[in-house]
Amino acid sequence: MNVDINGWAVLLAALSSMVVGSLWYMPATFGKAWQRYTGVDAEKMRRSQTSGQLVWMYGSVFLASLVTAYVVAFVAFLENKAFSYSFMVDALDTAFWLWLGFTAARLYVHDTFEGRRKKLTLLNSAHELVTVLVMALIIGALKP
Amino acid sequence: MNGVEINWLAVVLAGVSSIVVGWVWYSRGVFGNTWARLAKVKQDPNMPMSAMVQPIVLSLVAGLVTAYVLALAGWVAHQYFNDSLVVDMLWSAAWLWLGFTVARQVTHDAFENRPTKLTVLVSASELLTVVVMALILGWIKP
Repeated sequence: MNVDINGWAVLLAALSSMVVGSLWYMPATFGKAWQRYTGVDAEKMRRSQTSGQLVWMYGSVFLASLVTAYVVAFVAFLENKAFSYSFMVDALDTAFWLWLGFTAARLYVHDTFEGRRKKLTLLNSAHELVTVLVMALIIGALKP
Repeated sequence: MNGVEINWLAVVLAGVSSIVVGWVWYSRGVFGNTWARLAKVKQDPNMPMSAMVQPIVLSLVAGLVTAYVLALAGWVAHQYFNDSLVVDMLWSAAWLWLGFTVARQVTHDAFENRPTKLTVLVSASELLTVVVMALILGWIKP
């Protein structure tokens, strides 16, 4: 059986995650707090990275977001078939539940056993929620 | 719209299974030592069992949440594809793992410059966790 997916919506949703991530982790927003909790020195890391490594890093992050956006679109379609609310509502609902069960819950378990700061888990989980909700807005608005 | 059918016994068993899988995967004889080295976690061999109670209970709650969402998503997929329930559960687990666990983990690990081996080790444990959940949820039907 066919699952209708709007490729443009998936592409835009993946691009949006790059924008959301840049805004969320820039120094003026949560970037400084993130560096403090993770112990990452972003400046030092940037200087030590070759442009090839940067391309690899952003490339793999973009690819990862394409996969996430595709899964949102796919499951939103299925949910829309099962519940038939508006596509927008189903997309947002999908993104929220999958974030809760498959991102936040899993991240929480790993961060707990690694003894990482609660604030870091919270900061990253909140970022992921905003990321997938923005994806869902785009996928919901553009429809399959 | 049909009501979503959930077998709560299956959800509870799937949640509990995630603790068992994690326990075995991260035991010292399996990947525990590798994980501790890669994640730079200091293991205290004298840590009392009582200190483990809280993280395990909270992980069980997280496992129950994941199992519930998988049961929901698997049910939704089953309405459309109508393969056997266990097949729909396994596909759902694999896709949700890929899109919402691994893809997001990769992003965070990349920017933190963590070892790729750690990302692979953790992602593999997550795959095994949700596949076992899917088997339970597909086997004990709603």
